[in-house]
Amino acid sequence: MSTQQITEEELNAFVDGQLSTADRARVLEAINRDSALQRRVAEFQQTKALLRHAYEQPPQARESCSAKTLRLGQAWQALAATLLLSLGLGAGWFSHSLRTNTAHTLKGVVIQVSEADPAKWEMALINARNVRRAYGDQPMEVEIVAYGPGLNMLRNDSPVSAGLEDAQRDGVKLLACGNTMRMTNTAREDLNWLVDVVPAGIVEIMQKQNEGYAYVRP
Amino acid sequence: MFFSSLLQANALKPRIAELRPRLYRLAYAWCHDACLADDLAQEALIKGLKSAHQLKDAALLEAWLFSILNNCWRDHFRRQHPRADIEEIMELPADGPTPEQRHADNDLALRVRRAVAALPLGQRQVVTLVDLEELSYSAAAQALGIPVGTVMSRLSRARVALRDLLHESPAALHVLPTKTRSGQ
Repeated sequence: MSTQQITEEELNAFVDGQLSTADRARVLEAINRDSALQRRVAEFQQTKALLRHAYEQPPQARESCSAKTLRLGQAWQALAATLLLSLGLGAGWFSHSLRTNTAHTLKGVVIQVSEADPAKWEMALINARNVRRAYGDQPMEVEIVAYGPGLNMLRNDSPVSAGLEDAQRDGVKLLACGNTMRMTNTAREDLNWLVDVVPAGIVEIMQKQNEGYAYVRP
Repeated sequence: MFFSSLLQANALKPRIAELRPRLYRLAYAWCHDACLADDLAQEALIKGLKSAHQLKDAALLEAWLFSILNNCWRDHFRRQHPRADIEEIMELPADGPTPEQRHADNDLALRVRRAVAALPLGQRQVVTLVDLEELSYSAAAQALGIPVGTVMSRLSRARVALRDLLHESPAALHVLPTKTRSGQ
């Protein structure tokens, strides 16, 4: 019933910290009572985190396209030269990081769980354990990252609790998204004790991909 | 009076120059073309340095410089697409997929950039200013020269679109886009 009072724009403004104290309290109260709103807020947070990381290191312009830029007045050429130099360094570093990223051997598997569907949770656990078993003693990290509605997989009252324990015993890491926990007022104690918390689920997934993990979404 | 504004303008110049990487990043998030983004950032930087004395409130430096970038970008578009409705233009990554990019095609960062590139320009600019540059709604409104209400409605539409692209159907982003589309 309170959902009707919260507009789409207020929900966005809440995520962006753009509400007055009074409005913020009112919106927060509505969010606490409504799991659909919680889900939306978690999605907005994820989108924000994704966007920031997607442009953290944008590809730099190559030397070849700087020719067009030389319509600058004389006074600015010294400044431009300095900037191009720093850009050049940036580009070198970027291509280096690209090389190391693409020439990787598979280091592990990161499995995304972001839906409130116990059948998918089962699938994620089965996939994770199968990978771990297939590699036996060989180094192959397997981690499950749960965020948004998928966080419920890792709660104490999760229907797949037994599966979590089996997976952990096989060496699978279970990671909960700290952002989702904060947005849904979930405390560490509400989650299975085998779980570790990462600051942001999506960021964890991106970092692991960058380190040479395969990304799987059951 | 003249001297004090001159002093202030001179004090601002190093701060303006420091914003170069952010201008580039923002321009890149708008056009997804490294060469063009570099040109736009450079043009905005030079215009900003030249007109630093016109900035009344140094606290608004970022929004002011981003508004200059927006003007450079609009000028560029008017030259390219004289008849199109600028707000609705969708420009897709012009950097053809390099071998590295093709290899990293399922990389999340690239998927996110594609999703952003698929937004109409008006929404793309708002969502990047708020989420990437962390501007307040009023500063974003100022940078784009639009009302705060428009910032809020575009932001809301952009987020719904991004959610659909990123969370619901990640496979949709693997379809390689055609070069430039116009309209919605």
